[in-house]
Amino acid sequence: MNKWIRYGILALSLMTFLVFSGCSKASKEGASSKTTEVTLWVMPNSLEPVNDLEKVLEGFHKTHPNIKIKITSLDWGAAWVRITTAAVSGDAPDIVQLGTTWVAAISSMGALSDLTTQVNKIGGASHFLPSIWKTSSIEGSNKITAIPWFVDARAMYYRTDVFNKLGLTKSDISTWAGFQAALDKINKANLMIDGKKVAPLGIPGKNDWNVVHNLAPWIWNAGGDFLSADYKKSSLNTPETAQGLAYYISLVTKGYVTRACLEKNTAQIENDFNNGTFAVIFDGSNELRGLTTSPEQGGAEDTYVAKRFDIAPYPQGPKGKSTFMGGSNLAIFKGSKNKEAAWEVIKYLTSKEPQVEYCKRSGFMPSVVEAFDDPYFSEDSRRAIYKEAVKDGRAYPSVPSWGLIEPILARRFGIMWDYVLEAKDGFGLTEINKLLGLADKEVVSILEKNK
Amino acid sequence: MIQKRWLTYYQAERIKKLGFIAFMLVLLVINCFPIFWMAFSSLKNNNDILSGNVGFSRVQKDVYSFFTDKNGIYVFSIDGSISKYDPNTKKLLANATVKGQNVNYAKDSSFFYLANSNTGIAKIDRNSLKVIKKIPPPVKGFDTNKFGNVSIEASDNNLYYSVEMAGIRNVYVYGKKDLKLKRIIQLPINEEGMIRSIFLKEGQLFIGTDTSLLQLDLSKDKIVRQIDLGKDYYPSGIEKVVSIEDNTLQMLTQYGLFVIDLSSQKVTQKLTFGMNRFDDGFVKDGNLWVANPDGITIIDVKKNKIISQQGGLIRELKDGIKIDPHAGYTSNEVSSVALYGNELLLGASYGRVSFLRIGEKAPYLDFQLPKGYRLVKWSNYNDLWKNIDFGLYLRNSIIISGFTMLFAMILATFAAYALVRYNFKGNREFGIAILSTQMIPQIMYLIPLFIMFKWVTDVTGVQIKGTFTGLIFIYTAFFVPFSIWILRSFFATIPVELEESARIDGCNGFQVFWKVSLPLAVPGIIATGIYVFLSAWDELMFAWVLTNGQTMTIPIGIRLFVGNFQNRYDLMMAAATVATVPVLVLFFLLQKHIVKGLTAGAVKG
Amino acid sequence: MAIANQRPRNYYYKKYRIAYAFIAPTLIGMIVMHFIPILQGIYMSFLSLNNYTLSQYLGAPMVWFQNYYDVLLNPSSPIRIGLLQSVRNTIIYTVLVTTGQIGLGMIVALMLNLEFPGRSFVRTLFLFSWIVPTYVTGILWGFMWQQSIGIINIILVDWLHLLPTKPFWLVGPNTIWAIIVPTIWRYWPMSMIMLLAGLQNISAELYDAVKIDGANRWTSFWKITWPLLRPVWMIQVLFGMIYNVYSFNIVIMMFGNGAGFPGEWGDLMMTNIFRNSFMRWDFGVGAATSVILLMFMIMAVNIWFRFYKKAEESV
Repeated sequence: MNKWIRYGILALSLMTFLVFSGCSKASKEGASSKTTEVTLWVMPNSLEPVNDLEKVLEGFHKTHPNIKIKITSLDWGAAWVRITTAAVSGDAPDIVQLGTTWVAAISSMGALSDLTTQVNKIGGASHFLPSIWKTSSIEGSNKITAIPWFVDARAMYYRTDVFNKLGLTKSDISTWAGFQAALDKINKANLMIDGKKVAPLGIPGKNDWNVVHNLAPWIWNAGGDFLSADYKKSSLNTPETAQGLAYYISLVTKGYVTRACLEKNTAQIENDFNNGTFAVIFDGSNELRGLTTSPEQGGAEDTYVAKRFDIAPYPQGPKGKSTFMGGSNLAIFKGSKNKEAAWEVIKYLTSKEPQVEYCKRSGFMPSVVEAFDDPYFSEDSRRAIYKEAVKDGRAYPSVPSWGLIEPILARRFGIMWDYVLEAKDGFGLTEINKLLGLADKEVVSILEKNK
Repeated sequence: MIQKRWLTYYQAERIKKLGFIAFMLVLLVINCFPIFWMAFSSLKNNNDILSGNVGFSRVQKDVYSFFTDKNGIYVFSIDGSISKYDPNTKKLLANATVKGQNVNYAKDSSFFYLANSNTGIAKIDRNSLKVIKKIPPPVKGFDTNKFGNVSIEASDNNLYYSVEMAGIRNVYVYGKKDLKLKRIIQLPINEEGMIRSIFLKEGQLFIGTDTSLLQLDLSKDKIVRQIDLGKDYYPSGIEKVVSIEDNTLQMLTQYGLFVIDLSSQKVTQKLTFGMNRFDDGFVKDGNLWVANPDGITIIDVKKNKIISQQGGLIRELKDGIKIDPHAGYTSNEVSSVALYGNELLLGASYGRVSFLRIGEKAPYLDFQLPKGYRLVKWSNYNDLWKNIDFGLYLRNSIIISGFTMLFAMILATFAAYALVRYNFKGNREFGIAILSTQMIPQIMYLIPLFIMFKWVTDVTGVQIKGTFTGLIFIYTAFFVPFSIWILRSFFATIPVELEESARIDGCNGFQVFWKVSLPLAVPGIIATGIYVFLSAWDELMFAWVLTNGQTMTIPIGIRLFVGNFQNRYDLMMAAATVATVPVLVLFFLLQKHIVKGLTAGAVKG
Repeated sequence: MAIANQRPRNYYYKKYRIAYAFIAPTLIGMIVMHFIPILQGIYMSFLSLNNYTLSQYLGAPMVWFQNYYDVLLNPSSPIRIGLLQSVRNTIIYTVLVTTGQIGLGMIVALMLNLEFPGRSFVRTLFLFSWIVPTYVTGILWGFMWQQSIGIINIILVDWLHLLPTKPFWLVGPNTIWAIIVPTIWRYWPMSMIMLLAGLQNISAELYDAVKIDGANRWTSFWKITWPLLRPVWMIQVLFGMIYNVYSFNIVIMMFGNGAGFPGEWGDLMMTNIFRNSFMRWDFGVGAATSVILLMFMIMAVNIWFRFYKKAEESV
């Protein structure tokens, strides 16, 4: 009995000591030294999110020895919940990475500090890519709250060996009709290369973060859209949107996409492409980095495919050839106590060299115009495709309700893949219209709530 | 009349018994299989998981390089094995394997030295191919998957070892005889720089970093040259210094041949052999022969000119040769070339070795190296801590669950005892309240508690959200009711008579509880405590919303392994195993108490 | 019967002061952490609480029963569409998981009640799946269910040839099985150990008595074991019901690495509410749904309690 009590008391005091020593240590650090500590939340943008960013920030520490930066990595799945709760509660970092599609929603909560004057000092809009600059504020407002950091644009990866064997060229896949014909040719050829059966196309299905991003270019290029031009109405229920969607789905129902794909996410599709299972995929520039990085650094440079692929822009649809463009911005929380130091960090990260360096590490494209002058973006002709693509890039409208609309669309289009998989006799326009009708209803209800 | 049975009674009983055992075994296997599969997958290579290979795959067996003498043909492969073949009969004489990553070899007159990044350096006898001595690698504490090339070079007395990793700027010098670390040469490279590879030639150690070429004179122990290669140079290290003559240095890198003018210290010429990596080469009749995955390139070293590039030859070679379909890799290409008398020795990535007479189109003899060992990646357990900050999440989980257990037990023990022994006013209502808390969906508390934390912070300035305190507080409150419920049944099993006699001895209410009932309830408290620990270890929803980056627990952190930019199922399974094993061990040790404590309510009211 | 006596009645002391001291900390904790928040939660369900009004919290505009109307009746409300599916899934899930875990638990408990060498070791092995954390369960089974590379399809199709083609488990209607099976796997040992403890308390004489009447094992199980164990399995039904209706971890971890939406056949009440509250930032609707769910739960528990009382009386 006494033994138990003694052990209990011992354990209790030990644990209390541990906790309080932890707490007091933290508070001491803050009080005694004069250095300011800036906290920074990022998402895993590269294989080693914290290390890579720390490397990029080394130059910053040389010029700002009294600013310390503490980086924390959040996963995308939890980030939305964490950032929004941080915006409401006081437990927020100084700087936060925001997906471009979230900026409007979180600024509308009044949680981000106004950076207009600061950003004008470094050149304002002209410093950044015009297409991504739109995401720096709420549509129609001139209050800049989130500074573009990097750009995630999409393009098409195709296997040159497959194309050579079947006599296909880059120009064959520049239009929707040509693209479909090419896929058909690959499908009929039933190729076995290097011991693997090559399926024409690989697209991720419902268990993916990019459910909506993957569909967007096809909808846009058919002339459709998610929201009307004034962002006040939904335009999901239009024939153009349905047409774009129908084309994309037909690629699946016609058998160009193996059904196993529909369960996979982007990372798995990338991996399968690297291992030679697909002839074509659509992906961001970080895949190019993966295919040109050695396996020791987490890349796939040693694979068979890595030596036999090329990149092309999205095929031209009836009404355009834009690509999806997302990326991330950096913002300072209103509650931050180190706003000046935090701005210094953002200013550094959006200057030329750190931009190039971070893009080299993460594989994304820079948001800053002058960073594109770096030979890194033109010496590989494949990366140059992305350099062009960001000009045609189209981002989602930066309206507050978009942050809420996107999960709805992700859910709806996720279910769509369920239906496509179950459908015995195809998934035609009637089904698509029905689905879009339901999605439309939900989006309208959100728009009404957020008037 | 007794009916004749087709089985005797005993036979029937026996069959029944066997059937019973078989059924139970099948159930056991099915039930334990997922746990086994988790542990098993955590030792696999991620690529095997992603391509659906069930077993451990064999290591890649690319031929790294050759060495020949009159006793044999030695084939070195990248998995760390040396195979010795009879030069006449071409039969396998001996084979030695030292498992490891990023293998490199050095040789002298009677020994081979094999170095790698994770198991160290081994000294191997050239005749018998027996490992004579083995030492661990000098560098520790890095994610072993991130190591690049290892270089090892042998001089008369010393071995020089380097490894490619950002932040390691040392060349390690070992005595050749006893493999003892003699000294460490620290190189003047900037902090982020790394040593790609080293090459020893005539007492000069050439060191290729990611930006420059250093020449270290070993006799003077001084860096005599430092050539900044700047932008012209692909950061690939040096494979071979071909010559240093007339103020020019010819250097082979993985991307091609560099000609450097030593007086101006600039690259004057650069010959590249396509996008592919260079893997091996030799000089014959003043020409440099290089093999890379696309074929053989022959270069006139004097004129710095490519004479021929025989990609086609190798392609033809490839098509006619059977390859092991189970080898498990995708490329099937020449990785190594060596001169063997008047013939060429070609080594390919499937561990295939071919003999080819120069000028002929097809090899006259092929053989396959012995199969590689099966790769069990224990290193996943090393890497998972480095890929993400899993140690922090583990620590947070332990602290939060531990304190929750402690506090919940203190509160619950008192309350449960009072409920059982005292018929105070409101006893019944309190009991019902406790049970009814279990009926409320926890998500209903989430926002109010979240706002309450915010409110406390606004009023007092004490941050609660994102701290251990907040989470421990919530968890304690949530798990106390159920703990009371279990403990109440347990206290009820303790006979009242014991307490009665203590009362007669003059103990007051508290003393009775403290001295009589509590010690008897210890097994129940342990059981309930473990249950609370498990529940807190398990909690996800509150941790999701109410922690921050520094106080994240395992269920939140573990998701970082599989996400937008990486699909490290191997590490995720390893992390899941790490999250499961401690509680499994805890349970195994205390299971008697736990079962007894938890079932007390089922047996006796 | 001792088993039946679920509520302990051996109160002994009449002095209450110390008892109040003993329960005081718990009581205060429960008021602060359970009672007040739950009132706030109910109040929240009458508010239009979204990302704009969250900072005002309880001062947010009052919409009275609008949220309830949206959830239950409003035909144009998007929440309702998803809700019906989650209700259907939750009912299927709860019923199947609860019966599954008690049924499997009963079978194994009966087996473990027999004498054989190594019994306690086997019992420990059976308990292992109960120790695996639920988030690991979700991740692990999500990993095993994968269509092309998952071990379950490899075993079922490639090795045992039970199915002609590899089915999808994580997409489409099979999703419901993909969440039911792991949940049973995770929770059945708890039922088993409780039932086993109950079994060991039944005296062998009862069995001998019915054996004389000519009953075989099957009838003696239904005549003696099952009714005598009723209090035990009824408690398991109660907790199974509560836990499974409020199940969250396994589903969210299995599907959380993608868009976080488990699909029409995998969405449960809790994931639905979590999504409505935190992804769409509509806390009022989330709270209203929770309150409705709570009402149903209270009703279900009441019905359960009636049965339980009857069982208690009849034994």
